[in-house]
Amino acid sequence: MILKKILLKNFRNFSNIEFVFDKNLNIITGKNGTGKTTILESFHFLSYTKSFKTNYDTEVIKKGNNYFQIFGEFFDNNKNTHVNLNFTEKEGKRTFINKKKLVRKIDIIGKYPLILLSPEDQSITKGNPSVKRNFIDKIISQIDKQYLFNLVEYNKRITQRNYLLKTYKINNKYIYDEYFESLDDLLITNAKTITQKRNKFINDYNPIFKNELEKISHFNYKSTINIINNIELNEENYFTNYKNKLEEKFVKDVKFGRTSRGPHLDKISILFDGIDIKKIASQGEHKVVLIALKIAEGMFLQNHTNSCVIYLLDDLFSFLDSEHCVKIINKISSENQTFVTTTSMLHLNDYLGIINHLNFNEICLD
Amino acid sequence: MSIIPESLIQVIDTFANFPGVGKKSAKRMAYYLLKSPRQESVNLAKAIINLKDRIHNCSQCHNISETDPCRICTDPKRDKTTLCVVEEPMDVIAIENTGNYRGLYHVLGGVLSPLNGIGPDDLNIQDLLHRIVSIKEIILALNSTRDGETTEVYLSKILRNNNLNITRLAHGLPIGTNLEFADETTLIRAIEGRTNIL
Ligand SMILES: Nc1ncnc2c1ncn2[C@@H]1O[C@H](COP(=O)(O)OP(=O)(O)OP(=O)(O)O)[C@@H](O)[C@H]1O
Ligand SMILES: [Mg+2]
Ligand SMILES: [Zn+2]
Repeated sequence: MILKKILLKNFRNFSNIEFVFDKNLNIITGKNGTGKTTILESFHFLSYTKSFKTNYDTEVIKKGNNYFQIFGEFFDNNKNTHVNLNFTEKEGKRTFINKKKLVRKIDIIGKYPLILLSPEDQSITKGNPSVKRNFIDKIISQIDKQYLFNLVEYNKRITQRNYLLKTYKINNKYIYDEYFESLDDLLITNAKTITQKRNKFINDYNPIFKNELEKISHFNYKSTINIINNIELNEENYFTNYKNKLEEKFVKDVKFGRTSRGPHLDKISILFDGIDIKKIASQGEHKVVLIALKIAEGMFLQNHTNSCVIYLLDDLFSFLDSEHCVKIINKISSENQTFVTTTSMLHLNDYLGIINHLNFNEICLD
Repeated sequence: MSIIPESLIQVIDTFANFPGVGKKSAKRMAYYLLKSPRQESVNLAKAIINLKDRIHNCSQCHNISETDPCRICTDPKRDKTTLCVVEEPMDVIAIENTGNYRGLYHVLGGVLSPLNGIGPDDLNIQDLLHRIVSIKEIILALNSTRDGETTEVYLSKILRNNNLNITRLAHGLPIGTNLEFADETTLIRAIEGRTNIL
């Protein structure tokens, strides 16, 4: 699947503009504030009916207007699909696919999968463990609804449990009673499914990630993704072991009003030669790892949806040397439609000759 | 000062407090009463007072009833060894309407709900424990919500070791559901609760 063209009306800084795209590589250039991220944001609206920057649709209307419109033309299986999304302050958001009104959001979400790399994603490799967990959880949830269900249930039960812990503290009740046991029995059932599926996913994801990282980088490290389960997945006595730990920690948990054991505290880390990259990696190394994670994510989604993903690489070149830039561009755009944004093409000048798609499309916003 | 007379406002506000009734419907209902014959309002007022005066909770099963014990608890034809535990009196009506169940009921008056501060002491659970001496089978017929499930597990914990046969309703697909359109949660539960057919 590829995106052939797009038309924006009153969308952020654009009043009325059309862009036509290449099926392989598109490089969007322009100074700060010229609308590079905005173009990628409009793609996200077409694929997921919402922005990746804000939850408030009115925010993206060009100042001084009362509506915005995005029109896109996808090409898939030898046919064109027109997606038209418009938003007015009065009537809200409406999407039309080939002029037919979209009734259920799920009929479009995931049909045109995007993999977005945005500057905020830095925290996936650099931030605290919860960011990595969320990143992994989001991928699995997209390809496994049972995982999503158990994760949602688990999180809601943890919220309930923590609330009840606080209630017990107020009432000076430090006894692990049947009420807690009942909550925990159900919590553990969700936790087990989450842990099994998470571990299996990381097992499958690891070799793909490693392989992609080798293709796009010039590192000599042996890299792996590692998970340390907060409650070890020991098949025979997982249940009793988990329950014992919750009981052990009960008094402490009441005191602090939160649950100190469970898969919500699983530690996922990326290792270079066995050492957490958070401790050793350089800026560029972090970024290349992040891109390999995203490429591997795209491959998983692709296998699951049978639809080619589109890669959106916002501000790709920052922190990267030219060799990495070219390797990454060549790798991704040889198989998938790719959009890259940059403030300057200087990064690429030395290497322009070895970009596979010499006839790439440059969209200059200056 | 509102231009609507005080006595009308009072009625509108009362109706607006009803579940599922908004300000708009409340207004329409109040105007309807205003226009209809006086007798209609008198009947309504009487019916409501009757409701409050005559309906009590059955001291055995906690269902609503005009007698205590209720007609189900005193019915000699009912199987006094089987107890069906439900959340609310409405659930008794739903099961009675099937005409298939011949045992007794026990109304909990809600479910365990940590976020709403409802614990075991806020439900009719102590009474349930007192009743089980003469019971052989307990059917837990709670809603398949998160809190309903927690309550189910809780009850099965405190009831076990009493030589009781404890069962619960199957979580399944509604009859006539097309698999394709079933929501995911229902489908996942239906798969998890699948039964052998051979
Ligand atoms: N609702 C709006 N109406 C008008 N202009 C807006 C609106 N929202 C954002 N803008 C402006 O649109 C411009 C484009 O922003 P965008 O983030 O796309 O720039 P960019 O090219 O990605 O810049 P950078 O290189 O700094 O990342 C900005 O100048 C921003 O202030
Ligand atoms: Mg930008
Ligand atoms: Zn009764």
